[in-house]
Amino acid sequence: MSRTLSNRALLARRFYASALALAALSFGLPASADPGLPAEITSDWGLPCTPSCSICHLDASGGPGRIRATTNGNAGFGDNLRNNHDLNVYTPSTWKQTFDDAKAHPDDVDGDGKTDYDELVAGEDPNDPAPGAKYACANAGPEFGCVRVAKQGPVDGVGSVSALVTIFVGVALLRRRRRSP
Amino acid sequence: MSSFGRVGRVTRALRALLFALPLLFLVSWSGDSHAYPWMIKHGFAKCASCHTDPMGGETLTGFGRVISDTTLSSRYDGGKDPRPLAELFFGVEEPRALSLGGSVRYMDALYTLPEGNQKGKLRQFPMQADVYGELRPLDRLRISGSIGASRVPLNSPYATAAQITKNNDGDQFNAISRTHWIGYDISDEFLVRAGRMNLPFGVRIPEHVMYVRKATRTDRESAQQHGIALSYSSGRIRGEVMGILGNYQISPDKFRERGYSLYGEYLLGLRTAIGVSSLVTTAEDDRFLQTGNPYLRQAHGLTARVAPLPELAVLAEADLLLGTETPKTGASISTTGYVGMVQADYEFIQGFHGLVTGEVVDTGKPNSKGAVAIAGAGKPQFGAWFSVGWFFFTHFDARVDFVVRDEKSIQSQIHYYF
Repeated sequence: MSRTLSNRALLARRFYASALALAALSFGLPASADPGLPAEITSDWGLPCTPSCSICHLDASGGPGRIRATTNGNAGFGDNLRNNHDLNVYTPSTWKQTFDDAKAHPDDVDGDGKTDYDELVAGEDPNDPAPGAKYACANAGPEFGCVRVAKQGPVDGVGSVSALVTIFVGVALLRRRRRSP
Repeated sequence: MSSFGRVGRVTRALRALLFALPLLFLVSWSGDSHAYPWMIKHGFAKCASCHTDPMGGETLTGFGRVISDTTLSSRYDGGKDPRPLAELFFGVEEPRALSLGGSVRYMDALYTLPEGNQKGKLRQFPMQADVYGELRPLDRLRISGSIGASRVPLNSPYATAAQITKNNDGDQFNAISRTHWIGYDISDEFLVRAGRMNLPFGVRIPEHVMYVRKATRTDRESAQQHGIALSYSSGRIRGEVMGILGNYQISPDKFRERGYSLYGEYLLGLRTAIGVSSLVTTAEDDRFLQTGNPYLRQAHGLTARVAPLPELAVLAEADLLLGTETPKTGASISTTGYVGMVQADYEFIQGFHGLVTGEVVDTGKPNSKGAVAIAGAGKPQFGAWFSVGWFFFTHFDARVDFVVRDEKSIQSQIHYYF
């Protein structure tokens, strides 16, 4: 593996240029839009809590093509928005029109006699005709992460202490190894 | 490839790392890492040859760096000898006790094709920016881990399960760690590890959204769990069994799955391997279903990796999926389903690949009263990928996929690994 310093310097410059280009390209780019839809409908319709993705999808992991039906076999709430109210999940600027249109129509996808809008405002699942069946709220799922670095300060001391101990042990072992003949 | 003990070299390596870190932390994403099971066509059936993780993925060994340069990537000089380019940052020698690496993966175009009343949509986003490494402070002791950053929307299924920090309002930066573990080489064949690790299950492909990885929740994007694992690699056999203690980067405890996951593979020949996978976990409440009831999740399956020609590798996996929800009152609700995939990878010239993948999933219709069968849950849901991948320079690859599922998309991504 022969090498020259000039070649290495040239390669290093190429690497840093690539990394800077990637960083510049990625900074401030919009994220995927569809996970934000439940929050938008919550705000627009005044729902008691932001629904989980399972309000339209098979489960909280969401995903295209995983649209749920009602528990009695009809096309579900998500399908109804898409097929009858022109929901375009990739164009957030059109969502407001979809919500207004759906609100103005007395849709009842599960056929329980209450409109989808009325059920959602009451915290009920429009896909389930069982009396009192509630929809899952997004904040009912797990909380992610171990350490809060914002205003509240750390809430999980174990993670912070473990990280510090690991760093100190690693450094000590390296120093010890370097000193040994 | 590397020499040990030169303080100057260690200093240079650390200086390079410290210089690179701020650049990496400008990037946000959610995404995957790399491991290439189709390397079996080159006679590399055992992941531990090239990766510090005995089951494959992430940090490269010195030999892995050499193979990346000589065999994985296109070479324009006609040579076959390893070059300094293969080293960290194209030329930084790592000390023998320390292996460092990382991945920056960028989705430069994800175009969802228009269909029905759905308009097309073009998106770009960073998928991954991780730094990872392994330290061997003693001959048999290993300390390994990864750290990166992510920024995903509220409700995103990606990256969140690997978060270290708790910025959960959506579209905020978070530090993430997909893996972190301490290991001890009991012998040349056995390694015991404790920490957060990739689950040993199925074919360790880089396509983390493939049905087999999503339905079994065994992708390397953020599906890792904390636990204790014992791996074995010798002769024709390699495998690992992991006791899953739960993902301690999510809370509360009721969402943590506990159980086991295992994978074993037997080499029938130099370029033919068959494997078996099994996973059983239980949680007080399922993280994705969120019914409030205990949930038992099982996946059991078979894999095959075959290279009938020097240029062609075929990967296959088929898994049985079982789920049982136990309501506090009434009968339990169960599902029986399946998921599978077959992928053919043809290397036209060194480093340039064409791939065709077929996949199917049916997680099963719940046996509860009134449940209906829909595509993917009671009826099969099919998918097909037509892909071109090019490892166009050592440390770099680019890939384009045409994915046909319920919706069709064209994806283009570039990946830099160091």
